[in-house]
Amino acid sequence: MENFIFGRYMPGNSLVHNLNPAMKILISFYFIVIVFFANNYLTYALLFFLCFISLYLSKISFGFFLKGIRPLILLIIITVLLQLFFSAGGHIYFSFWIFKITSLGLISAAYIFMRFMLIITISTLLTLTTSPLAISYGIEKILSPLKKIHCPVDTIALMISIALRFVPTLTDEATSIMNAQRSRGVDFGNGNLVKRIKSLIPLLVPLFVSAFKHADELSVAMEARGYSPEMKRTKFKSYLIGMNDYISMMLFFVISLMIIFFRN
Amino acid sequence: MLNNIIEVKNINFKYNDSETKTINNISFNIKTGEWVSIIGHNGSGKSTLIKLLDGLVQLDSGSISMNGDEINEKNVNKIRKNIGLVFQNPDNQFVGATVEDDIAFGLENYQFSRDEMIKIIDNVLDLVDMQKYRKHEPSKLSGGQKQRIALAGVLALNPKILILDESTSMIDPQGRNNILNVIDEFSRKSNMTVISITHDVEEIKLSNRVLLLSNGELVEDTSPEKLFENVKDLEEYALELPFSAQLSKYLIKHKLQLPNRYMNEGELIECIKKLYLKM
Amino acid sequence: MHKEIIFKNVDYYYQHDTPYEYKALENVNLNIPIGSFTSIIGKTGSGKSTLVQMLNVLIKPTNGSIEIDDFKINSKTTNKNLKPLRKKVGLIFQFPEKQLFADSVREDIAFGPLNFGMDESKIDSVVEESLKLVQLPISIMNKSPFEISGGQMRRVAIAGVLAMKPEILVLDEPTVGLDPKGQKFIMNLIHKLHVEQNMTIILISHQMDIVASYSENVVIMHNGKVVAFDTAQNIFSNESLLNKYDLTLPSSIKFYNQLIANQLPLNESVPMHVNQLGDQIIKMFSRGRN
Repeated sequence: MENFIFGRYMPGNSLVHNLNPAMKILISFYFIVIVFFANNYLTYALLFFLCFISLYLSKISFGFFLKGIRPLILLIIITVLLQLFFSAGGHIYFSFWIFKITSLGLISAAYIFMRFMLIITISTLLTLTTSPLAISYGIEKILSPLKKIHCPVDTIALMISIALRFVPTLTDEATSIMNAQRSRGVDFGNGNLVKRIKSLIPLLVPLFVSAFKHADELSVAMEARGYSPEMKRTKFKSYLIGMNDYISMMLFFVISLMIIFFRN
Repeated sequence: MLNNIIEVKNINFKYNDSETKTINNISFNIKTGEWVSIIGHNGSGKSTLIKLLDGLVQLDSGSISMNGDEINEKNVNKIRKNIGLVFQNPDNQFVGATVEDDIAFGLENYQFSRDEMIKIIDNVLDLVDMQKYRKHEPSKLSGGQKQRIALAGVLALNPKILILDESTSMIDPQGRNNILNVIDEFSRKSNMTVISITHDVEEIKLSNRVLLLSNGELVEDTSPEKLFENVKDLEEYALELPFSAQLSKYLIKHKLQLPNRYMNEGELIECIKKLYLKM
Repeated sequence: MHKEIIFKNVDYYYQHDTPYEYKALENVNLNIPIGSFTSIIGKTGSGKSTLVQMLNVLIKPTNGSIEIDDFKINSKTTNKNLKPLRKKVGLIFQFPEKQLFADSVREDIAFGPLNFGMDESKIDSVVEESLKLVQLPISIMNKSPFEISGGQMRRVAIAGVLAMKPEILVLDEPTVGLDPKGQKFIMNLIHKLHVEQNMTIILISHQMDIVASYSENVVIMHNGKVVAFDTAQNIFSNESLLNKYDLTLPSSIKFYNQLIANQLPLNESVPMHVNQLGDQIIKMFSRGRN
């Protein structure tokens, strides 16, 4: 649990950290879209190259990054295996009951694996280098055209930022409740599936109770501090779009052009 | 300047799901610059009273005026700006993802400009001595530090009234003293009125006046000294005697000729010394 | 039961080998006598909670080892076969009412004992016994733990740990957030368990009045290190030591010091609570001036 970095923020002062959050979110989504355009090794190599540069510029250590996404490996392996065994076509190397390993299966398994790695890398990099508040700011900026059709973008953004701000609080709470129940003799993650699920009840019930209490008291505190969803609010945080933002946008754009050019 | 900043007249309140009144015909006034402690056991109506004062729940009958304006649904937001509230659980009032963002939250609600905010945040961080934690996340702070940020967020709006709802009960003694010192200093300087719900004798000793609630009724309106002297069974009201009173009670029980009134520590020491020198 | 709980050169790192890593405990050596009442004091973040979590192997030492009775715990200890140890050491966390989850008070208190394999037929008597200890009416048994008052919730949570019949009871700030009456109740209960059942008590507290009144030994922690371990009397006689680590004196000693400063001849060791100070003053008067 402790080493799991997916979705976490790591404060820093690198070039990637300091990009405009709205732009960073857009680029990440853009990247995920172009991942699906890649369809040969050269195009995938280009995308990995882009990931590698971004990671390098974020000054996050490579080893730490790999170790951090390790918990996701199981998910990747399952998907890859499904692809490997169940996609038919091409030369058959191996066959057993309903399982077949074919040349096409091998290739599509390799592609799936690479897509997974690329998407995980870029989204983890986004959350590692962008504070929760900046993410909600970015989302608000991106969605701001929706204000014209009376969509409560500010409220949604505030909700997201509060939800993110409570992640560490609830994580701490989950750990301490888990510890309390372990010392009362619970083995989390032991025994058969039914037993495992049952052992979660003493964790989940108190966690929900506590989350509702947080929400309840927080809403009163916010109201007491003058918050009202109907009222206009000013903004303390502001982010400029700088030279680096334009350069990275250009870089991603150029790579995507190359991908369209090199794909089959 | 000692006019009434708060006037509470015959207020009543009952929760929908409750059979009995939570607040039963309470009236009192509070003068500008006063420090008032509100005490009573759990369920006596203290927290509800505070929510009524801040307009967070609506009265069934009676009236509450702040600075001469009676609270109603229309002016509640304007009145609220003059009232700062610090709650018990430091985690449940932290809105921002970092210290400065959290302090900014109230300022954003009242539409301060960004330049004003930067100046104000700087000032209040100095005030609570948390300048170096400016960019920290709440989960990295201790309970006492979080509470100092909550206080800073409230003082940023320069309230005329500060209300503390057991704000120091979940933090360690150093944290508590720290917060009380900041409030004491700030309230003297700016003539801010302080209302505090508390079980803590040190906090009560700081106040000019004590309101004792029981089952939704106001049963005592007195000074801390009178409270420690006159009220029997303080424990029933979720309080304990100050150390000096505990000691003199013990000494009197063991036949030492001490006056039977509340003395603070300095007075008690003087008294013991005089008695000893007279021997 | 061996005579001591032994911490030997214990280090602990949170999130070892990551950029978030930080050292929570450093070279802790400590022998806590079985049967004693030992308090751990120190500023927030000094490593107190980390230290006591190890007594239940909720975390393992990164380096060094801990011995409790026949159990030896180090970084290689597996998560199997910990139940006998966890049964022996009862842990009461900060705000223990947060761990309540069951449909009824009875079920919640029975949770620990059942996990440790207690016979279903004995459960009712154990639950009743624990409720009696924390002075709650038996009738509360069938209520939901979420519809009773906050103070009662804390008592139910404590009853849930006591029902496991631990030999060592570890408490992390058990009185925080309670009113003075509730605080006194909890401390008297712990004192009673210590005296009547000879239970080993390890208490974390920030309240020096409580620590001085009840403990035999005191550990001071600072920045993950044990910086002092002595009898309560010796620790609290050493004002400069307490000052050095930003700890306050108990009220009784503060008052005692002021009397001494006023040339009143108490000439005895520092008083650990108000009654002890009272006795000293009375003795001073009965000795008379000479």
